[in-house]
Parts: sequence; C-alpha cells; structure tokens
Amino acid sequence: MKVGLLDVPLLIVIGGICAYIYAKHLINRNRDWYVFLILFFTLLFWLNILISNLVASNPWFGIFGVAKVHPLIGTFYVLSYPLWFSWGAERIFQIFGRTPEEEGMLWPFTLRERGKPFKPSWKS
Amino acid sequence: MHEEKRALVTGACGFTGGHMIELLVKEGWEVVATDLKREEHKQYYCEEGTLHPAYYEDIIEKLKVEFIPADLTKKETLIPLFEGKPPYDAIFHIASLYDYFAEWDVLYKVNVIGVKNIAELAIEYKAKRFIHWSTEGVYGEAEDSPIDEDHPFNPPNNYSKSKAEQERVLWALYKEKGLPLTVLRPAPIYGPRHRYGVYHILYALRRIGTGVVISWYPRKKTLMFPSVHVTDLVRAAIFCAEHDETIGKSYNVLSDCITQTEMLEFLYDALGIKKVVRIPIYWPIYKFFSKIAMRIITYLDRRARKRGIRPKVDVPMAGYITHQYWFSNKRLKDLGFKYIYEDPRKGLWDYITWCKERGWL
Repeated sequence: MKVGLLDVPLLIVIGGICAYIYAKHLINRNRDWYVFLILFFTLLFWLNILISNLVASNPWFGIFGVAKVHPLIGTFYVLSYPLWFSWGAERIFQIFGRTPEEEGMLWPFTLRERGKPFKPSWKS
Repeated sequence: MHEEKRALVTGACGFTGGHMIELLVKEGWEVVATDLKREEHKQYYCEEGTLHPAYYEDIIEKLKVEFIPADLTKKETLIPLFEGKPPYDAIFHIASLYDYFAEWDVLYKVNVIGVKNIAELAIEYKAKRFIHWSTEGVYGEAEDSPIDEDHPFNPPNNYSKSKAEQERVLWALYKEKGLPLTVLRPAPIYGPRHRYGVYHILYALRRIGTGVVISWYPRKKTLMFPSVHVTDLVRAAIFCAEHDETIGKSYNVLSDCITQTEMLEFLYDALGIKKVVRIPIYWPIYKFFSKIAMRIITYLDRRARKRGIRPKVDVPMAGYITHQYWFSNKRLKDLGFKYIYEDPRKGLWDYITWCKERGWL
C-alpha cells in the first residue's frame, strides 16, 4: 500500500493553521467550523490515498514523498489522520487560545492585551 | 435608648472600603468616609495597562454617607475628619497603597507616614477603637505548617515590607500612647467589584484558556492557596470592633486554606475551562522552572516600567507560584467568629458568577 510520507506532518501544520483561523475568526460565525475543517482535510487526504492506490499513481503525485508499506500498517496510518490534525490544532489552541477572547500560553509573556473583551455570560 | 455607633472608614473608595461602608450602614452605624479625590488617586496609581486597583466613588453616593476627602500623607487634610466631631467608636483604617507595581518611596510615604498621621490623630481625638488592615504578606513564606499570628515577620516584597513597617509604627503607638489597636491580617481578598489581586489569577486563567494542574512530589511540598471573601473580612472587622478583648491583638483573616491543586481544579470547572493538562512534578524540577518563569516575569516588568505601563502580572503576585503561603485562622475562630465562606470555593464560585455576569471573566 502506498502512503504519503509527509501526510502526517502536513496534517499537523494544516491542523494548526486551521485552529488559529477557527479560534480567531470562524468560531464566531459557526462553532461547527472546526468539525467542517477536520472533515474536509481528512477526507481530502483519504481521497488522495484512495486514488493513488486505485489508479497506480503516487500520493500528491510524489511531491511529498511516497512509502510502500504493509496494507495493515498503511490502513492504521491513514486512519490516524484526523488525530494528527487534532493534535496540531490542539497545540495551536494552547499557544494562541481557543476563542477571540483567549490568548493562550502566550498571554503572560506579552505586555499588550490582544484578546477581545469578555462578553457577559448570558450573552456569550 | 440605642445610641448609633460612629465609624470612620479610610480608603472608602477602594474595593474593601466600599464593602465596609455598606455593611456598617446596614448594621446601623453612622459612617464618615474618607479617601483621596479621584484626580489625586492617579498620582499614586499607574492606571496604564490592563489591571490596576480601582476607585469606586458611586458606593458613597449611593449610600449617602458623609464623605470628607483627605490625603493620609498630608496630616492637615486629616484634621477635618476629627475636629468638631464626637469621638469615633471605631476607625477602620483600610486605606493603603496596595499596589505591587508601586516604588518603595511612594509605598513608604502612603503606608508608613500615612498610618502614623491618622493614628496620632486617633489618639489625640480619643477614638475608642482603631482597626487596622495589614496583610498576611508580612510573614513571608511558611514551612510545613500554617503560620499563626505570633510568627516573626519576613516580608518578601516592597508592599509587604511597607505593611510590616506600618505595623511597627502602630504597635509602638499602642505601647507608648495607648492606641486602642487591633490588627487584621487578611489573605488575598476577593468579592464583588474586586479587580486587583485574586482577580489577576482568574483573569490569567481565563485569558490563557488551557488549564494546567500541577501536583508536587513529594506531596508535602504541595503549595497552599490562602484567600478571604470581602464579606467575611468586613464582618471580622466589625466583630473585632465590638469585642474589646481584641485590643492589642492581631488576627489572620482568611478562609481555610486548601491546596493550589484543589483550587486550580475548582477554578477550571467554575470558569468553564475544559481542556486541563495534569503535570505531576518533582519539587526541585518545579523550582527550577518556576525560577525561569520568575526571571521572564521580572524582565517583562522592567520592560513595562520603561514604557510606563503596568505588566500583566506583577512580580510579587507571581511569587504565589513559588512560595508556600499557608496561614492559620484559628485565633479568630477561637474568639467566636464564624466565617460565611469557610471553604474558599464557595466564595469564589459566587465571585466568579458575579464577574461572568458582567463580562469580567
């Protein structure tokens, strides 16, 4: 079974970028955006693996490297994609916060407030 | 005929002062309130930055108590508080420069010279009781048991040093000139309208948004969390004012201490912080990392001072993550005082709810 060598690092980075955009912008539009993003990217990566294995091409056309592995290992590897996306996202949530009001672990190490003001609980 | 008791409350526009007046009025005392004028307040407090001690004049207006503005550092401005008035049954001396960001000169001027000025007038005008607000900070760090009122002073920062010095001045006046003194040493205070101190912790946790719970090993190194709800503190003050046996004594005023681990777990629940990371850590390793954190906070403090703004975390406040602050409230309890918020979690729950309703947290 062919798998993308850099799929996991890519998903971690994409997960992180998505988490930042979600926390600072998308969350206010719709809280489900995080689920939409994780579904979209996981399905995209799965589709890529599926196509490359079915039509005998390479994942991402070989740009990010290809490895041939035992189908069982390959299946576990591919199924773990959403977890790696979440792992990357979670690191960014911890560093930059989960909402526009939060600033994450960076907060104590900066001088200016960047987070938005808190809303009264009955309005949030 | 029941005669109305008369009280003078200093620091009336501060957080604790406002609560003191509210309770005194509710209990039927006649109150004279004093504080700096709002414009003078700014000369002692840096108000640039997120969090700083607040000034609440609206409480006085709402309660319609007599307000005489005065500056503790200028004795002549204090005289109208006493002249031509019958002696006070109690002076609740709350006014203090409670600001970890303040320089020593200003702290000394307000907290030490200021207290001397008002205490001398209290003696001269025959006040019956002088209830003074000190701080638990005068003791410094505990070892492996809670600190009681007889523990020697070892203040860890400038603010606490100024409070220790303040007490020395007052105890000298008590011994030499008969000042009817009672000293309250509250732990960090919180409650409605509170915005400087415990609020910083809650605000920081809320801004960070991810919970970190630390368990120290060996377990005997577990750090404690002392605190007191403002309602209990002002009740304790009136309780002491009404018990003459408290003259010449000092009292720690705080809820029962719980561990920082328990407190953090509770705070994350109360603040709605769902993601919690648990870190069990060996004490020497924790000390090493906390020293690095303190250096970073000290560096940020220096940078903030250069820019003329307040840092997000005052250096002495960060001391709570490295020092053991553990105090006993036994003496006041033995006297018969009953805390409403014996478990600090009950009081903090009320306070956090209050803050959340107003968009403060």
